[in-house]
Amino acid sequence: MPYDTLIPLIAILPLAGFAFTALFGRRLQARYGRAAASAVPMAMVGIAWVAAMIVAAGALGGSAPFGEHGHGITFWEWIPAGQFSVSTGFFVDALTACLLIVVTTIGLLVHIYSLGYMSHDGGYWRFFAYLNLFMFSMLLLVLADNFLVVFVAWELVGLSSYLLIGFWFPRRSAALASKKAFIVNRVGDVGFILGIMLIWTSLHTLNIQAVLAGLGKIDPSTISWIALLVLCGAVGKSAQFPLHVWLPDAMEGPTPVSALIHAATMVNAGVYLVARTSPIFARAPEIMVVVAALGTFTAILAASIAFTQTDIKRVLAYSTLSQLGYMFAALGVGAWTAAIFHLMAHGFFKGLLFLDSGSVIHAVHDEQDMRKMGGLSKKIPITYWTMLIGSVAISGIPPLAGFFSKDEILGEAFKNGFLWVWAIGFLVAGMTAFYMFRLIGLTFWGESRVDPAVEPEIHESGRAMTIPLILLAIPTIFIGLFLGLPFGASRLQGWLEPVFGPAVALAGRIDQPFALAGIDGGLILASVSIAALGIVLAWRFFGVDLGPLRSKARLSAVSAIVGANGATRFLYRASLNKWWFDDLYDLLFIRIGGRVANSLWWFDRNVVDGAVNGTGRVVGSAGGGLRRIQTGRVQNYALGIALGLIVMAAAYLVIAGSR
Amino acid sequence: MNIADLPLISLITFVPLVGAVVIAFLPRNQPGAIRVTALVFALVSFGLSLLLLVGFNPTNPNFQYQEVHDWIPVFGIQYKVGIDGLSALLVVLTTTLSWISILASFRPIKERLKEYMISFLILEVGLIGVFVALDLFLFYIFWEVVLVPMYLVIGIWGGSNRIYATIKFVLYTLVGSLLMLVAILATAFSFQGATGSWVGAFDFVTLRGFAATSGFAGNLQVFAFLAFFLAFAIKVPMFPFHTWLPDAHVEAPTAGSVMLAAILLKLGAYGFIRFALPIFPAAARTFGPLIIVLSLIAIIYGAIVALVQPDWKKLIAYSSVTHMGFVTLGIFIFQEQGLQGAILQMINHGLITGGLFLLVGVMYERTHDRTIAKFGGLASRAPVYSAAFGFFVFASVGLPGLSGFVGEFLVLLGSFAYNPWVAAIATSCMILAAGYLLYMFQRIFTGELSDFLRGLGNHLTDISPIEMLTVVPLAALIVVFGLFPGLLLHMVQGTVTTVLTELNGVSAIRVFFWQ
Repeated sequence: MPYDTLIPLIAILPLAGFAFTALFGRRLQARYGRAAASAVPMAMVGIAWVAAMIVAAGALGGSAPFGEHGHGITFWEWIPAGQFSVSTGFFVDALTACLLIVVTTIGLLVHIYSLGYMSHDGGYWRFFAYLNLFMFSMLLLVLADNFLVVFVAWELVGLSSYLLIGFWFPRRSAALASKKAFIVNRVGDVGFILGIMLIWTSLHTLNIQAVLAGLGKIDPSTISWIALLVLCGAVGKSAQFPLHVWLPDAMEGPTPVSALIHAATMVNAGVYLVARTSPIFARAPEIMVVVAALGTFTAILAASIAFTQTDIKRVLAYSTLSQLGYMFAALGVGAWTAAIFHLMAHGFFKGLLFLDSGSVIHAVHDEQDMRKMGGLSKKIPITYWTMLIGSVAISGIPPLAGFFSKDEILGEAFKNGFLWVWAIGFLVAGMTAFYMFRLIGLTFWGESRVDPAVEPEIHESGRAMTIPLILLAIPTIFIGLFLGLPFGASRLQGWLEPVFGPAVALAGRIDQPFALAGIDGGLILASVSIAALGIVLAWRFFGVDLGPLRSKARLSAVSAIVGANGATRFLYRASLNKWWFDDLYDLLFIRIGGRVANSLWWFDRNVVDGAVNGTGRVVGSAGGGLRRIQTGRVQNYALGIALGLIVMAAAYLVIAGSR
Repeated sequence: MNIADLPLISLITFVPLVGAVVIAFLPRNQPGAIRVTALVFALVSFGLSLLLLVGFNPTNPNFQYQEVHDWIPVFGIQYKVGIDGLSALLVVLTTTLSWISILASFRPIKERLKEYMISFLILEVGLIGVFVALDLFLFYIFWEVVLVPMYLVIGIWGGSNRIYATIKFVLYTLVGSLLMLVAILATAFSFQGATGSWVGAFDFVTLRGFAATSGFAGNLQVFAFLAFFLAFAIKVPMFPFHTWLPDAHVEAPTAGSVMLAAILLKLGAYGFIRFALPIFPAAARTFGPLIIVLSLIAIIYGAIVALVQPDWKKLIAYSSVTHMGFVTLGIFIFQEQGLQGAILQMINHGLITGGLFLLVGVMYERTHDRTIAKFGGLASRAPVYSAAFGFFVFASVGLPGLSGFVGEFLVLLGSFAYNPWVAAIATSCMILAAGYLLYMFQRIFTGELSDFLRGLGNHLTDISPIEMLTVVPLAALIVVFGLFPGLLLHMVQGTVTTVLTELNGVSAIRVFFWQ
């Protein structure tokens, strides 16, 4: 089948699935059962996956019509407003292909997983409708060839995220979280849309490829502004500091949603956008420093919070923030390929970790507090082993996925002279390993702290859930080996070279040959050792029973360290309270903002409207006063007429006399 | 007889009047017949207005379907009607929402049904008339015709505080429109003084031509423009003339609110584009920056005040203030995309806010309360209704893909070209809009079912098919215009080009010391 038919199908099929399920899903589920309601959306995502794989293979292989620089198709002129014109179209190159693989593969697996996970939920059909809507939006986002169409998709993923976070809307916290996510995202979107306007006023086109080709015509300060504004959008969607506060709350959504949207795909949109516009950022080096700074700061901030969270999903959420911070750091130091590498690897292992957490939550009857878990490794072995694989991967232990991608980021930062990025990233690598194995320890190792009533009912999840886990564990193990080797000239670099080549050249990044025996080997050794150190520490504190190795949990040691002195106590409280960002925003925008709004409303009623009613009252009472003249006595009227005549005659004489 | 020979515009305008007369003769004890008659006449007018679109030629810059008859020849006053793309769209918007409003009134209106339907049909006559009149005197007549039925609709079928609201509405509007009448007369006298003839003194096309060639004197322009401005600004309504709107909306019956928000608010914006800008271009340029500031205030201020409204309808009323702020902003930056966006925003606001008021009315029928705090958890009891409401909420938020986005974006783009900081201020409203709308949605629809709603028991039903029928056409148009805004943009391109060409030739009059 020609690619020009396949490419639109990738996005249109999930849209059709959404429309169909939204209209008929409820009746289908009521009449023919759950399987009928989910059949269409499942099929749509399945076929879209096949189509995406064919397209991705074509684009990565560089076959016609893609070639090295990608292939675009145009549909219709969306907004023909005089000189302003926006056409809708799709564009596929190697970067798009990488995203397509991640989005459709994880999307499909999450759909399968949801068959099991949501099987007891009354809103089953609704869930699949929303999931399809999300798939459409996300695929539109990566396929769109125009900034404004990207923005459309940008908002649509925001909408589907809103719907899915608030899926259990009778729960107040879910409703609040969905609203928060949408509004915080909008803050970033304001920047993004302003950036789009600036692009148009400078270049009179919004076609991405045309814009990237025409950058030479704009003066540097404008480019910096564009980069900064586009970055705003990316920061919102990818939940970087200071807009990171929505993502942990988004965990109110069902766990498959957390895996798909808030770990593996949507939150990558910001990374994708910055990577897609890499030539803009390469021309604005000072903004790239901002990107790197935001990324590294978010990475360490989120990692420090993950230390003390007790909700299993929240630990993973902060971990996601932290890993996205790595990606931003990579984008900031000009390691675009490494950023996309980490995006892909993270998509798989974090998707896996979230689905695992869902399986755990299912097993212990919707309990998310890790203090009420423990000792689950034997009872849910598939979940345990796959989650262990995911944790090893995210910790950066070779040869799993995270090792290759994270190490490439750290190495590039070091070699490009961003020593501070490297140093913080290095520290965060150790922290990551620690909090992930804290999670494993609290959940799977040691004594069981599960509610005794639930304890006997713990069982491994059904096949619809375990098969996606196993299927995700495979890329988690091998994708690093597949994409990241050989060092220095990896497969992924070969694919993405045409996309990022111009930006790399512009930014003046030098491709040093890889030296396993030299600097690169040293860096690898360093980061692997700190990861191992983190794991060992977590093992010491939170217990392990891995075969013959046994160690009791030493929670008392943890509290001893926390309580050691004022500084550690402060750090502990800061971590536990997420560094008070939520409280700060609550104070600024809810309390103070609410005061402002209320006083403006007071102003509206009493000053603005008061003036109107005041005028009315003055006129009314003046009329009341004048009413007394109308007495009904003929003598009074006659007097009035006489006086009037005299005045008029006098006036006539004066005016006539002045002529 | 050929369709082209029919006086199509007059038919569209006066078919509802015929309907009103017919209803006047119907017996009071047959409400069914009254309802159906009203609906049929509104639908006939609607159907005819669609014919208007079929025969409309967007590339012809002149007014089409013109009908001219002498009326008061001594002063050159004519019955002259005709349409361009802008008025064609607004006429169709009016006829569409008229039949929808009448349909939506079937169940709620039980008292004085006959008078209600007569008022509604006469309201439609006045509204269509305003959009098609090409004679300033005729325009004024229709402008005032609108007031009377609206006064009755709010004053008779309104809520508890209806008398206060309706008198405020009428007096406020009258203040503006009487000044406008003076300005119309002054303009005509000035024209007569300059040309020595009354012929064309009230004819818009002649006056526009005069303005473009010789132009009116600076003093006249300034005072006449200010008079027009006041009339239109009150109608839009612009900050600080907006306070009649929340009162009127809260007290008006559902269909009254729908027509008020969807059509009446467009009269002011239409007046700016049609009359104030082309006839007094220099004065428009003079006061443009000031009006832009007022628009920005309306956008931000309206949104912030909407955040804390305890009443469902009042909240949407304030959202109208901010949305109409985009319209006036788009008009007064005198820029192609801005003006196109403003016109789109007029249409879209009609569809979206019309839909929102219809849906609020649906729930008011069941609960007889609009206090947001009493609601909660509605989505679990009325899922279809909630989905429909959610759709319109997101359309109002400006979700791309739906029509609201395109208009807003074009206005913002235009204002960005005018001044990036103006655009930045207006764009920040995107956050506030999401804030007040989603906050409202969260309080009413999510969470546990509130005690108040639970107390209603079986009265709290989901939306009925007839009620769905009133909002589905609007929803469909919102989707279609979101994906294919070109349908609208092609229609109004001619109007936009004409208006801007006239404005570009002139410079501002020196009124303020800083000019």
